[in-house]
Amino acid sequence: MVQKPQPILKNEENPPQLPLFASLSENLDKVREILGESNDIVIREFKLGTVGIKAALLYVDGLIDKALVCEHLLSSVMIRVRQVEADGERELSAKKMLTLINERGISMLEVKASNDLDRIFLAALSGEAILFLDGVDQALVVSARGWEHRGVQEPETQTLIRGPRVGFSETLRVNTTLIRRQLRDPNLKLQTIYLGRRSKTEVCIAFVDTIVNPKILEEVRKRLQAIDVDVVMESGYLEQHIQDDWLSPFPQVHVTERPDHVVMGLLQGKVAILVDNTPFALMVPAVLKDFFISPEDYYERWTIGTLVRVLRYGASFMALILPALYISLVSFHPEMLPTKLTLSLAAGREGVPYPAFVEALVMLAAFELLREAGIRLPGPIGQTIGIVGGLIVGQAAVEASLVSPLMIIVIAFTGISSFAIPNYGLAIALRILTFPLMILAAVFGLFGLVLGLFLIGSHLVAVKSFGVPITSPFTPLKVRELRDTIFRHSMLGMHWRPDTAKPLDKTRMQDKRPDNELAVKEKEASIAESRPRGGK
Amino acid sequence: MQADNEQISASQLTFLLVNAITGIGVLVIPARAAKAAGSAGWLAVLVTGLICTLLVWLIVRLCRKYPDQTIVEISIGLLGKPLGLFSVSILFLLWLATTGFILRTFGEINRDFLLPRTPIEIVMVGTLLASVYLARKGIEPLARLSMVAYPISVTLGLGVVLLSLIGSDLTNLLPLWGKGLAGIGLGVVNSLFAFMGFEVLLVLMPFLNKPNVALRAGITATLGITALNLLLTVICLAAFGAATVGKMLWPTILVVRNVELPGFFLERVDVFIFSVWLIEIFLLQSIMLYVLSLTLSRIFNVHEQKIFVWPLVPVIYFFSLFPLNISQLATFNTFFSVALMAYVFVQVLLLSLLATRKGGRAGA
Amino acid sequence: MLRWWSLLLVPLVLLTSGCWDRIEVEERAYVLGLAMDLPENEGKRKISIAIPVVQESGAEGSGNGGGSVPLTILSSTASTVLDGLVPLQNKLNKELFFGHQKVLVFSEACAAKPIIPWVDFFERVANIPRSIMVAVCQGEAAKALETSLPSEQLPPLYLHQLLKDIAQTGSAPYRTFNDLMVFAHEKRPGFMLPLIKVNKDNIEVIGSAVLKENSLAGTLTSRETRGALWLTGEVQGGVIDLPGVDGQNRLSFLIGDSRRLIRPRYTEKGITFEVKLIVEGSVEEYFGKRNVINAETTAQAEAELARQIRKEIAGTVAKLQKEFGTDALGLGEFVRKRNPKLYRQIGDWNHYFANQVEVKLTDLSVQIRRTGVLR
Repeated sequence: MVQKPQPILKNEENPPQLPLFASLSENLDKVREILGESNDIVIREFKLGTVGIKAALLYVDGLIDKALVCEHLLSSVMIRVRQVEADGERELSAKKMLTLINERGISMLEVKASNDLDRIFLAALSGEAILFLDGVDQALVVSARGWEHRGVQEPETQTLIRGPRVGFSETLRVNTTLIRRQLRDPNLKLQTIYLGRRSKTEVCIAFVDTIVNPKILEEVRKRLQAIDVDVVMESGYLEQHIQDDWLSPFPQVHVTERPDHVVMGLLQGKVAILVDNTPFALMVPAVLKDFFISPEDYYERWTIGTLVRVLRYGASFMALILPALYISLVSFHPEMLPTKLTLSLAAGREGVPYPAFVEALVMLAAFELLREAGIRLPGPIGQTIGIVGGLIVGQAAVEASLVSPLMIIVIAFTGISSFAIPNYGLAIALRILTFPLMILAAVFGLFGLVLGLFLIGSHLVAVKSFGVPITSPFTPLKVRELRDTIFRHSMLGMHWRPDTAKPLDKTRMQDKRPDNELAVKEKEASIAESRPRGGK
Repeated sequence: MQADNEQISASQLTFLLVNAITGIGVLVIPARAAKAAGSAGWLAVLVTGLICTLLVWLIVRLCRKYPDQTIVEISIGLLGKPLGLFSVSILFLLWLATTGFILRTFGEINRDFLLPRTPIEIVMVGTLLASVYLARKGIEPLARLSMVAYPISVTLGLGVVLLSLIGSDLTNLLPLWGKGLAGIGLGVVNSLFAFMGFEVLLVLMPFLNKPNVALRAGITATLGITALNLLLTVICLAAFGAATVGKMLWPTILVVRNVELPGFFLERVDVFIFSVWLIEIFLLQSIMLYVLSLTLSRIFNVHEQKIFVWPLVPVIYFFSLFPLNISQLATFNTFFSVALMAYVFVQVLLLSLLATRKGGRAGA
Repeated sequence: MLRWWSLLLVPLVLLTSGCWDRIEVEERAYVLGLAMDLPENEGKRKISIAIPVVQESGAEGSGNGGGSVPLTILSSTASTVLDGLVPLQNKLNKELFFGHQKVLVFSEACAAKPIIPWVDFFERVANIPRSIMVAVCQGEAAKALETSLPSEQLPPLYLHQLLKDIAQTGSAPYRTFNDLMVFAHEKRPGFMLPLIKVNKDNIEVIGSAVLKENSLAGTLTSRETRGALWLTGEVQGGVIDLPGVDGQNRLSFLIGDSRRLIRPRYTEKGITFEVKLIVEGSVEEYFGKRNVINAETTAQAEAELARQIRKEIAGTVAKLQKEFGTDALGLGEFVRKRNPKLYRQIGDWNHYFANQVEVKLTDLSVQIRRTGVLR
């Protein structure tokens, strides 16, 4: 009897939860009982062999590739059996028939045997076709997946100028394929678990075996397996369960839609978590500097990468403090501004009835509102609203003397800066934190602003992602890695992997640049000279 | 009795120490040194720095013999429980008082330059509350933040201060001996206030991952602070001359206000200095809160350090309200800083002698 | 349970009881300049402040329109500066703010009385920058706050810029409030402040006022001031006019830079300061019979220029010594810094300077580097 163990990490159990019956009718009754009368559950009954052993094919319409099943599964089985019997072996028993089909009769790729109805249901609902035979308490689980899905497209949230225009899709297999395509290392391991009691969502853990630190891998597995929920809709569910600090506004898990991003992370020793039904993959451990990196930085030369990164750091800082800085300078410390600016500011604000803080709060809230609205509205209308809202409403507000002109500029810059941050989670965190900073600045001026920044700093410095402090490599200081944080180091210097994920294999490249021809010739000449004459 | 597995590296320790020392001192030291020693104020600063380096060496020498123990355990071990606890309590009280007075000084400066009308109580309470958050998190986040904050602060701050060298007169540093050796001596005493803080090494040593580097870390810290204070004193003397500097309360801030970058979008750069210095103060308070709570936790033999932070807050606040006016505050500052230095010196010396006598055996 | 939540109201108290220091930009009265005059009661001073009147300009959506911003000058008379501000604040609906003060002007009469006690306020108040420009004004100082070129917007800013660029013509020294206070605290023997005169629609820099230990010793014309500035090394611009180089041509020399080196020589009679002066510049105007400058002409011109400079310096030193009896050249500082014992012995340096100090120009070299784009 063929019984291969299933490669399911969770609940590896012998004996089976719900054993199959030997009788087909009993099996089918059980199936109908549990799966019910859904009209997409199809049971196709037929007979095999001269004896006419009853068989049935169970599948879920919509989840399988029908052409494949018809042409290869059904037909090959039926033909083969007939052929064998025509060759002389008559009256095959059910058991023999099963063996025959499994070993020689079925021209499908993935075929497993199972005697557990529980697993069979999961398989059927995942898009596999189940072949039952009357008289055997085992069934064949044949992979025949094929359903409607969005093709591989450029990810909308992470577009770039140069690089592969490929993003994950909602099908897990497609996603793992995209990763494999870029990383043909046999050490790349993909392991699946099923999470969610009712959703039984397929979750894939990816890592590179000789690089990843086993402690981190173990921690990832531990945290994932501790999840016991009804349903895992999206990777966000997992993110919120496995993160270290749920109170922190800052993300501790890297989320990305791009396979090249994942591949880069894997090569740094990170563990990637891919979730079925969502194009967003997770990567841990994640540190702050990862949120400022886009793989595109590496596809261009280092000067461009450095410039863009410096811009991003500056932008995030601005997005955080600009409104609060404006409030504190204008309302508390005008001596720090140039005189002419102060006077023109005063002129601009002369008719405005509200203090700078209220101005800023209202305008920032309006901006956020516009941003949210712009997301919900379909395509072109959304963009128009942005322009209409920004320009016209802002203009009108200034003319109605509700806000001062400089305020509009400040808010616009804040908004634009927050768009420049590559990671959505971080951008949201900064946008949220702008508000308490503004309040502090409104009460205490510069003192309040710095107080708020200090509190944020204190918080950041204590947050860890899977044991790695989120602020490395700034602190704890790893000077060697600093050169790839704010600046992007020239490709030729990146010999070691960053220490973030504590990888086992530290080196990643060796400088084997071929010398140019002239230098080679000179070297050879000098070697020839120094060699003693007469020797070989 | 190590706190879980919290460890800091040598460079982290250096930054922690430097942050514990830099606070109000950098703002007042040119004035104090110049008032006493005239144009030789910088010499006084240099001498004070060297004295403190010596003290650091003494401290490290003692603590290295007991790698896992803070001063509390060392004292108890060498002096016996009642005497040891008593001697550490005095140290603790001195620390408490100085922290309170520094807080008050900070509030006064804040009121002069940033928030003239805000009640000083609110400012001080706010500072304390901000520091509580970090102090409760333990030594590693403290060390991490120190490492990040200090280089940024120093770069920004020094950069701005150095700009004031343009158009200042270095001959103001003459005559060389200023008000004479007596003046320099008095200057040393007055400058001690700016170097106070490195004695927290007494309780931080156990956290080092490699005890041998403690000396290097400590000396780097004091020498760095000496260099910083020296530079500031020289710059202030050059910009204002000794007599003027001696009259000022906060010369460093005033020297920065002198700086004008006409083409820059911020005409006056003191906003950078203030932000930078504010962060330093918050960090200083956090470190002191941590050190105080750690000492208390060791005195009472309790594993958790966090729980002692909140009770300390009202006590420090009480101390900060103690001086009646700014002149009294200055007197307190000088007196307590000298007392603290002297006490540390005596205590460490005594304990070292006892330790050598006992053959360097680890305490109870 | 209720009590626990009410703790959250505490931070709200902060917001409602007041952000104590929040004073909006438009709620402040920015004092751009302050002038001090001498009223009849010589124990008091008349203090005038210049405040811009800020107009609302948000209507057209443009922030700062062109045109002039009107200025208000308010005055009051009192025995101290702080006291004098009270009646001024009583007239204003906005809070006085000195953070943007640019200039401090004393009238000549005011400077004749001791001025140091009156400037303590500006040093003690934290907000007033030490980099404000100081000047002495002929006539009424308050007028200097409201006079400016018709094209300029704010008179105090005009005056401020005027005083900042003062080194361009070498007619008066560049002096900030910080310099004044250093002079006061160090008790230096003498000090020069720029002297300005208020005309109908401009302010003119006409020389300098020499302060001796607190009050006015006298004034110098711009030429005489330059004579002193040669010795302090502050000449970086200006024109020397030679009416008759080689008998026929007129030459105007634009001073580029000057460097001086002073060495004191101690003799039994007193101190001789040996000065070495190097002046560089270019010929910017030259006309006459033969319009060509060659090496010979250059040498002649340089010699003549040197003679002119010597005359200027000698004249000023004589005036400072004989008429004013004040060392405004900073020579005393030389001695004090390098030989503090001797300085202490001398005691009254001004007296010593007037009688026993000689300033000798041992080495004067004038270099004409360029002649413009013509020969």
